[in-house]
Amino acid sequence: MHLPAIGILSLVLATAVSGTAAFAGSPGGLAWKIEPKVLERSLFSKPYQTSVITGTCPANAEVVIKVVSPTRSFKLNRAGKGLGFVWVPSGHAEVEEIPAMYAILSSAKMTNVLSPAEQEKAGLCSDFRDVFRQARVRFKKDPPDGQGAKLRQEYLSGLVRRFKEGGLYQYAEGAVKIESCTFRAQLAYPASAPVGEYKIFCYLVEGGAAHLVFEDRLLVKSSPVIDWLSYYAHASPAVYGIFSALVAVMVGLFVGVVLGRGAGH
Amino acid sequence: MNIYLPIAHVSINLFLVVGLGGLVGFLSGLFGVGGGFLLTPLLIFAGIPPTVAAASDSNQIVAAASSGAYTHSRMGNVDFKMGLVMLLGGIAGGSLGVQIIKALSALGEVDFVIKLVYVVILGVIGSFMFIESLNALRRKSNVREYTTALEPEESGFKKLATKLPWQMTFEKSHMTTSVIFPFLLGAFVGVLAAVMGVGGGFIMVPSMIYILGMPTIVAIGTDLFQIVLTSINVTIQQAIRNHTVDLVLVVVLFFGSSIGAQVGARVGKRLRGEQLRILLAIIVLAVMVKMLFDLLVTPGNPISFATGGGH
Repeated sequence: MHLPAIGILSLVLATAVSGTAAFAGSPGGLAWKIEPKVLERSLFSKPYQTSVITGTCPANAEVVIKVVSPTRSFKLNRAGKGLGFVWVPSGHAEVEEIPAMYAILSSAKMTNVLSPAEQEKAGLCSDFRDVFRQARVRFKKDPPDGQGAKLRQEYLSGLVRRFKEGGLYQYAEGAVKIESCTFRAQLAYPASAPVGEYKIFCYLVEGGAAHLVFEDRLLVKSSPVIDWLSYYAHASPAVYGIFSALVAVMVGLFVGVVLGRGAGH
Repeated sequence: MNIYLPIAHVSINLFLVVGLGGLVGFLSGLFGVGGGFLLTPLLIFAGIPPTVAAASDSNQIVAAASSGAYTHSRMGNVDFKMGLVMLLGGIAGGSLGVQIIKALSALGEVDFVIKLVYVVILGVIGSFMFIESLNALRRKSNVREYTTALEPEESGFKKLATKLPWQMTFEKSHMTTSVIFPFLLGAFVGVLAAVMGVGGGFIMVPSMIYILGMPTIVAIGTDLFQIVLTSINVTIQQAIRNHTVDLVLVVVLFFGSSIGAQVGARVGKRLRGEQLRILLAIIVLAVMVKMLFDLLVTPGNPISFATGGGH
């Protein structure tokens, strides 16, 4: 399907299921709002875009928000020593079905309000083990007997570390602010976060248990120019390549004519 | 102000990219050599995935070399016949290089190989230039200009080339030689263009002067002409095979480099040839040392992206 069409369809879906609402049966009849609901990545986007999640919560309750992006596949190298002194790629694997962005924000220190078992049950562990369970790792070469699980863990841990370094995986205790039964959290989406529909989960923590009180969607999409470039770079690479070369020649000749001399090479 | 690069999937400070283009353009104008071999590593240091940096640099070279080739052709400095022979080699080499990149990508080795090739090539070129310039400074032979110092002499290669088959006369270069040498030279530079994202002028021009025996000014003009066409081929091949040409990055880089080249050319007129060359050698060696350091130092995270991000 054409990319803009997917974007529009996603936007319609996101609009249909979202908005300010109250969940029947949720503790305290919680209301919430996500602003903006759509993040558009343009040519001049900052390294991070932000959305703010606000809502109401009962007194003495803590709030945890989890944001999960669409899943992607990642080809990875594992460095090992080659020739005795140079670090070379010594193993390769592809990690599939892993969210490219994953964030857990809470109003309190998690270990103070949730037991490890409750954290694991709700998928709120600080080491993102929920992700580790769902992701698939395909090795380029079968690992030695008995090494598969260890290598799987090593690839996933390394990838998650990369994500954390890039701001894609976030675990921030105290990032949700509560004041007068109103919570507020600001989440930063790095420019490298994938486009698509993000799931936002909100939990209320009371009595040592986490209750899912709402689930909403946020759409990250690209501007038409970026969509157009990305689409043609992948769907019509020959046209894109010729277009790129022609643009370069025209710009070069223009500068050559205007400045009357070459710009070097 | 930031700019989002749609193929690299990176949002980067616009002025940093313009500055990098400007810096390389400045060096290009200052030293009269290509900046491609410096631009790719600088882009990698700035956080652009290596495959995108190399492919986009090739496209940026199309713009820069078009500008230079246009000026040289107007001055009658382009040997089109020689350029076309080299172009055939360049297309063959460039296509081979892109296939090499594709095969290495499939193996997950491409980023490592790009860095390794850079370390070797920059190490050899930088060391050669440094020693040569140091000797020139010691001799205090600062009377001759850089270009005249490179005027052709009878080399062993040139003598050998006259004995090989498929002799052809190149009127503009005032020479008769076998087409095998320029073809192979074009092919070698074509492979480097694809793997390193460079124009190859820093290898091609000395080779044309010293090995083929072409006049310096014709070598420079012809080099630019064939680089335009070789880099167009590499750009299209990279776009088709690897989807790694970032047009937004290219336009911003060229904006910076075209301004930087003008400034560099003016500053360069005030410096002596051997001073310029030793400065360039130091820059080349510094980039090489940084890349070598990255290969030798234990990585903080042994897991890395095989194709620069994957999404």
